[in-house]
Amino acid sequence: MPPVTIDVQGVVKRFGQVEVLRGIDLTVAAGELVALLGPSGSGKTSLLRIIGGLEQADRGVVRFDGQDAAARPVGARGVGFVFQHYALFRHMTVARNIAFGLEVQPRARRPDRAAIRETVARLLALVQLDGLGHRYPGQLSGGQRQRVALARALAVAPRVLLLDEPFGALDAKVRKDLRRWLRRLHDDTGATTVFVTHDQDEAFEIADQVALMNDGRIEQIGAPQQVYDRPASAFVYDFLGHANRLSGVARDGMADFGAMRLAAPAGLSGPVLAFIRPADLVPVDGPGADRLSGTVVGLFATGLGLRCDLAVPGLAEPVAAEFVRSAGGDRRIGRGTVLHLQPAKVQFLPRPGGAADRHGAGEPVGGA
Amino acid sequence: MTKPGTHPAATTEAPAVRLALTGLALCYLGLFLALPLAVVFREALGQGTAAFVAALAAPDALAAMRLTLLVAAIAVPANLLFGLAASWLIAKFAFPGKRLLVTLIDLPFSVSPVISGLVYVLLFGAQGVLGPWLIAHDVQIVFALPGIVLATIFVTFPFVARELVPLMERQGTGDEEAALSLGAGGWQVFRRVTLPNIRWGLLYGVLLCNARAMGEFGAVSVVSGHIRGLTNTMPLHVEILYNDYNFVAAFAVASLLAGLALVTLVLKAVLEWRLGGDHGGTEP
Repeated sequence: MPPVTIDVQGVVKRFGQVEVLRGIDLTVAAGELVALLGPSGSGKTSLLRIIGGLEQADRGVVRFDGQDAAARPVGARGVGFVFQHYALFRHMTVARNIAFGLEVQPRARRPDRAAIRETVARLLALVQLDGLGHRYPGQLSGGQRQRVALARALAVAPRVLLLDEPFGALDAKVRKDLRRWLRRLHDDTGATTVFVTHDQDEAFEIADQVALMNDGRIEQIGAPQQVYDRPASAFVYDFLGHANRLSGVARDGMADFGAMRLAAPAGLSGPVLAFIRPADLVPVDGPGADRLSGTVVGLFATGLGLRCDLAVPGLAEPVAAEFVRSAGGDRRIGRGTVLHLQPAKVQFLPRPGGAADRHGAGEPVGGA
Repeated sequence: MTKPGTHPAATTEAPAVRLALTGLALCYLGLFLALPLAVVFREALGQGTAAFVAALAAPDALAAMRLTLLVAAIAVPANLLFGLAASWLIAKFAFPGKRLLVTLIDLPFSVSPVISGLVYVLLFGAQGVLGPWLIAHDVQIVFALPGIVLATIFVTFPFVARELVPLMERQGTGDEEAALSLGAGGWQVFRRVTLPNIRWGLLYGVLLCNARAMGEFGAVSVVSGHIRGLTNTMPLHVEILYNDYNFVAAFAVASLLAGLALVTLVLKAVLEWRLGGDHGGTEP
């Protein structure tokens, strides 16, 4: 079956007094792989379950190829769902688990035994578990169970594949292997795929589009590179992590952050936030009005890089800078060293209320 | 420094204390459980196997056995169905009044069986609320099979539900959701996924339910009317024989009930071992 376009419009969901989804609009193009990324409690799993038909939206619609999906029961939506804890049927062998979706079909549509056996064998090969069909789920490792869950979902040839934290319970090495494998699998099967994760590396590595969710809303949606380079809100910056967040005041096209003065985008005045990634702070030889000068108070090796925390006069919190190690080593950096840093890329956001505000800082107003 | 392994773990008592506690527990068990059980079998066989067999083959004894089996054959399946339905409802759905239902299911445990029997007499007896109507329509409930069955069902209805509710709550709804999303219908989900997941717990509940149904005395005593050969179940028959100073026959029938208890105990141990596989969420 050809993949479908998923169209979510104005979906609202509440559990008791808690509004977990506050008006979600999301379009997933046919055959696309989309990640719902966000902290726990942001509503991403609820959204996935509503798309899959395991929950009903209180308001709003989910359409598959323009048709209201709610009109069909869960089993008739053509959705393959992979659960966070796999939900394998523990009293059935791996082969019976995979065959389940075929065996429960009405007699008229059910493939015959030979065809089912063939499908199971093909899927076992696809998920690289050949020869393990007779085992029980309890006899498999976490990564193997995850692949059985995938094979079981794929057995019914779903037009939409939904995965809830598919690699959440696995260790780092297995996760990495499996997510690349999932991407290849997606490219092979071509089903429209939505997966939920709280791991940004996972989302950014394999998704075509990343939807960042926070507090029941989608904060930003876009290609991974676009989201990373141009975060749309203070939340996205914070969530993607490691960005320095400087509070300052803008006036007449300039913004002051302690002793540093940067050119601010036109039209921005009053309290502002500036986000600068550690890697965008370039060490330079001397101080300057548009540079940060501070004393190294902390030093951390981060794999290939070196991260320095600097105490900068006039700024409340230390500023983090990161360089490739050889460059840092050449400069003989240690605690107490004074460094001068030139911001290579700055993103400004208005600072509502003047105080440090974690959410809803509004639209970005351009970079410097 | 002590060598590793020689130092006792923090939760281990001194050997003397352990020995004393274990001994105390064994003495207690021996005095209150093993000894009476031994007496039952000794008295039953005290005058030889011939007397034992004769006591069991007496027409009234056979009638009591038939009645007991018949009552259990009706009450246990009824409570199996009720227990399944109630636990399914409680464990898989949220609805107002759920806590109340859970409390109600436990009611027979907190009410004296004699009271439960009395309630049926007050409801269905000749002087009872529904008595005149029942008499007018020639329906006999109290002092007949229906009354005994009703009293037995009442007393035994928590067993299956109490075993299944916690089990199903622990297992959650993940497996059922997976089955639904794969296109299974409600009945298919129940038969292929839910039922296999709870089968050992269900058997365990049925076993306890059956043991109680066959052994129930108080509630049945009130509603039965003690008509020999007609409304006497095995426990009631034991009492009558005992009151007649017919000790060999009384203990012979009692030994059957004791035997049932022993078989139940063994099956229970086996089921508890199998039940280990049912517990622990969606992953084995």
